[in-house]
Amino acid sequence: MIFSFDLIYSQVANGLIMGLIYALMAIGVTTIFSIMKMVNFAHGEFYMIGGYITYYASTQFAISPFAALVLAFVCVFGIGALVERTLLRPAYTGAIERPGEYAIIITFALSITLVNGALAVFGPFSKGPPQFELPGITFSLPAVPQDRFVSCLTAIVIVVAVLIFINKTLIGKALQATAQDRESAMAAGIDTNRMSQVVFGLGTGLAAAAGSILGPVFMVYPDMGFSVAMKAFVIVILGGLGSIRGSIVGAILLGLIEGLCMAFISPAYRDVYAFIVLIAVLALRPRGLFGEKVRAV
Amino acid sequence: MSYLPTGSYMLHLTIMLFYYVIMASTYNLLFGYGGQLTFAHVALAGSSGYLSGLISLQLQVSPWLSMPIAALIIAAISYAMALVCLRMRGPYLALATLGFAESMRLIVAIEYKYTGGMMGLSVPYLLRTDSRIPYYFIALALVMLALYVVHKVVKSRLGLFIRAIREDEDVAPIIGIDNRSVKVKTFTISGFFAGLSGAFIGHYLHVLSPDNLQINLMVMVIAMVVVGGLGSFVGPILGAIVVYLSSEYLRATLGAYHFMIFGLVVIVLMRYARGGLVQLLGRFRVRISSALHERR
Repeated sequence: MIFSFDLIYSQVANGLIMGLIYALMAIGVTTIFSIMKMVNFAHGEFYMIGGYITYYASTQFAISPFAALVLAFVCVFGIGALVERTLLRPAYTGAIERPGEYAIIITFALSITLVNGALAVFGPFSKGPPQFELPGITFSLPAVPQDRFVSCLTAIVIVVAVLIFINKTLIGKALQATAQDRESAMAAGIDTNRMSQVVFGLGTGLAAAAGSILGPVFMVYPDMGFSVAMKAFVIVILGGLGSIRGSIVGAILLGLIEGLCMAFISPAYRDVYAFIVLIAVLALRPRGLFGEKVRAV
Repeated sequence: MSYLPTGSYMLHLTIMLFYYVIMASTYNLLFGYGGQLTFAHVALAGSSGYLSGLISLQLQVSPWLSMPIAALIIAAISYAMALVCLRMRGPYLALATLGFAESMRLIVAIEYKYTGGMMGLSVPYLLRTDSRIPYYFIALALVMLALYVVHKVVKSRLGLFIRAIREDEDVAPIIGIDNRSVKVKTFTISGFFAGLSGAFIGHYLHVLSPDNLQINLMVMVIAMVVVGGLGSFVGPILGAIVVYLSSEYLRATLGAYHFMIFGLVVIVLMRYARGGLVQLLGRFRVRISSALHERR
């Protein structure tokens, strides 16, 4: 172990930057859970689809990466809404016994289908989309690569936009109502099935945005989504399932923990630290930081 | 068993099929009967292959000894995992066991000094013959043992308790079931067989790789149980046959698409026919007999 301040700083700084981008994924997972009461195990694959859409849009059609990001969001929003309508709707309309198990298996199977489908269609080789660049911003924090810094800023802008949407618009308030008490929301005249569809589209769209942002940084390849999704799940459980605030705080925390562990223990085991955090949270404080108290996890 | 497939490839298929029958049947104990959706089964088997291989390699011990030792170690790991995951349900349990599985795979892949990492590990042969026939008989014996144990458990009071937990985990203690003890036993028994069969298949295949622990294979096992019929005894056996043989066939013809087909099959089955083949065959039989008995 080499205790050099530079090493520690650079790992922690990069960890935080990554954490903020993972927050995009985590917010998607947590909002989907708060309204649909299910964990979307295919979340990483929507991230991957976002990456591929951005890659092809910005290379074949030469549009700006930011425009490609918007395109990816819109497309995956549509795909997500479709998936929700066909595969997930039965899970909470009472047509299926043991809906929890159903949701896990079907989203996991969807994940496998999409990854292997992408492998078959796009091939196993990584693609490198063009980086996000803002004309005015040529600086960055020390030891943080320029492209990651701009990606992080973009992610922050999107997160703020989502927060405004949820808190200030009518649909956002309808979503909150559905999350708090589905039946009362129905009684108040909200179409809760439509809300589920919207939130699933929104969540997966956010994942696609994250894929769009990180595509240039980590390259685009079929199973790019798996480890990122695992980080998102850990963040969501750490912050508390259903809490957006928890996702943001959890993301920053995980980024910090990962950076520190990578600096002090070993960079190779990067993904394992997230699992250790996961197990620790599930064993010691299952509801996470901001989650509701649960009798049985 | 008078049927003896003697062609070398047929023998290989049959041995691998026996392995998957064990994996699917013992996983069915956890998931089909017990309702515990976990993702660690295949990773445990793969880790057992490495454990047994390393024990026999480094400690100069016969594989016949290292296999049961590895199985017991894996059973102990399953026991510990059960204790950690006692109070977890649904997505939490799934995520935690997914975490365990991926951590095991990463450890195997990263510690290349001991495990050979992505280059693979060569482990000692179980027997010094070139023929596959002895392996066939050993695999057959293991399958018989595993199915016998699963059958005994399902028929016993423990089996009843396991199913009670699947039905309603909160009510079970009210009627006197010790959830903790039942869950721990289920995890340990299925973990032991994952370990035993994983160690055997490791020594049979002679070369191990971290890809033995990948999640795609776990999904294949889940597909076997779902296709065959969750919570039935025959289901996983049928499922293993159908899924494994079609997997081999698809891999030869379709190449890259074959895992995708499994994902699709599982999706369609979960959506429209959750009882799997057993349910579908049952429906078919009912229709035939009702058609036959109709009076015009």
